[in-house]
Parts: sequence; C-alpha cells; structure tokens
Amino acid sequence: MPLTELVPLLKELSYADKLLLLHFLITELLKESGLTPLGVQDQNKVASQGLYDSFEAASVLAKALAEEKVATHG
Amino acid sequence: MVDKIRFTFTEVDPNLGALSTLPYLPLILTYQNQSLSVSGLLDTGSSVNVLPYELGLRLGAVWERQRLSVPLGGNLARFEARALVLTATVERFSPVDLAFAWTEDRNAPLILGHMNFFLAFDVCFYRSELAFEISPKAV
Repeated sequence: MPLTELVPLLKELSYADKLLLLHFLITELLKESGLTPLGVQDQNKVASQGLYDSFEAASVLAKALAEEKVATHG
Repeated sequence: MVDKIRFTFTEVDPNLGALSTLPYLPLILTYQNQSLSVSGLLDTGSSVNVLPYELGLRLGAVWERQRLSVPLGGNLARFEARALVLTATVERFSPVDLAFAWTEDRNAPLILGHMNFFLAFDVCFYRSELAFEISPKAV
C-alpha cells in the first residue's frame, strides 16, 4: 500500500494507537539496525541478577540472624 | 540414625498433573506470639528465603520497624524487601530461626532458599517418585 493511501488511515487512529504505532516503528527500526534500546540494556542488566545470585541479600539475612541470636541469647 | 520426614510433591495444575508438581513444604511460621500454617516452595535456585508482604502482616510484623534492607534480584528487584527473622517449625523437628527477605510484592510466593533454610535442613529430592525427604541439620 502506498504511503499516500496509508496516511489518511493513520490519521483516523486514536491517540493511544498512534503512540503504539510509533513505538512499533521505532522497535522495527532498531531491530533492523541491530541496536538495543538503552532502557532494555538496563533491564537486561537487572534481569541477569536473579534470586539465584542474590548473594548480597543473603549476607543481609545472615546479619539479621546474627543480630536476632544476640538479642535472644545475649 | 538421622530423623527424616518424607513429603510428596504438590500438584499445582490439575490439568497438567505430575508435570506441574512442585516441592512445597508445610511448616508453621511464628513471629512473637503469632503463628501461621503455610506452605513454602523449596527452591534450591534461590539464594534467600522470601516472605510475601501479606504473610508478614498476618504474622503481626510491622514493616516500618524492620531496618535492614535486602537487595533482591530478578523479578523481585522492583520491590523493596526488608529482613525479618521468624521461627519455623517443621512437623516434629525443633523450631529454627529462619531469616526472610520480606518483600513488598504482594504476589510473591513463599520461597525457602539457601539463606538460610538449606543451612538449617538437609533435603533430598526424589523427583521421579514425586517426593522429598527432609531432616534437620546435624548438630
């Protein structure tokens, strides 16, 4: 479909649909360029740290247990 | 002789049957004078125990009074978590202290992980038999 025919149809879209279309087009362009959006890079960084490697969290719990032991047994 | 108790896996989805079974352990959690009977998922892939928000409240714990912040990873990283030490009783075994990452996520499952459930109990999985055995850590 030529762009000239598409534009009138796009104008009829709701505000939300126009935003979604914009997002779709940006995603498609990034995909074609082989680029990863900055936000997704950050998400991937967080996602790679799961409960399986929450060692810092484990160390905080160890501290809480030690404090509880002192509070209970002196 | 080591005192062991055998449990069966729990079927989560009746439509999937044995494919959806998971090792849930029934236990009693106590905080001060308040106790609750619950089931915790034995998760050898988790570094820590995780307590969902509602359970902590039902046990009478006050969020604002817990001062140690616990940095969780994965799906729970979006939520704040604080350390909460509870007493856990499994069947006839002596009660033990378990430290939980008490998450603000209301949909989190109750997870029993390495710190410190698997330090307090030895667990042997027999997945092909849909069972697991648990014994307290040898003193």
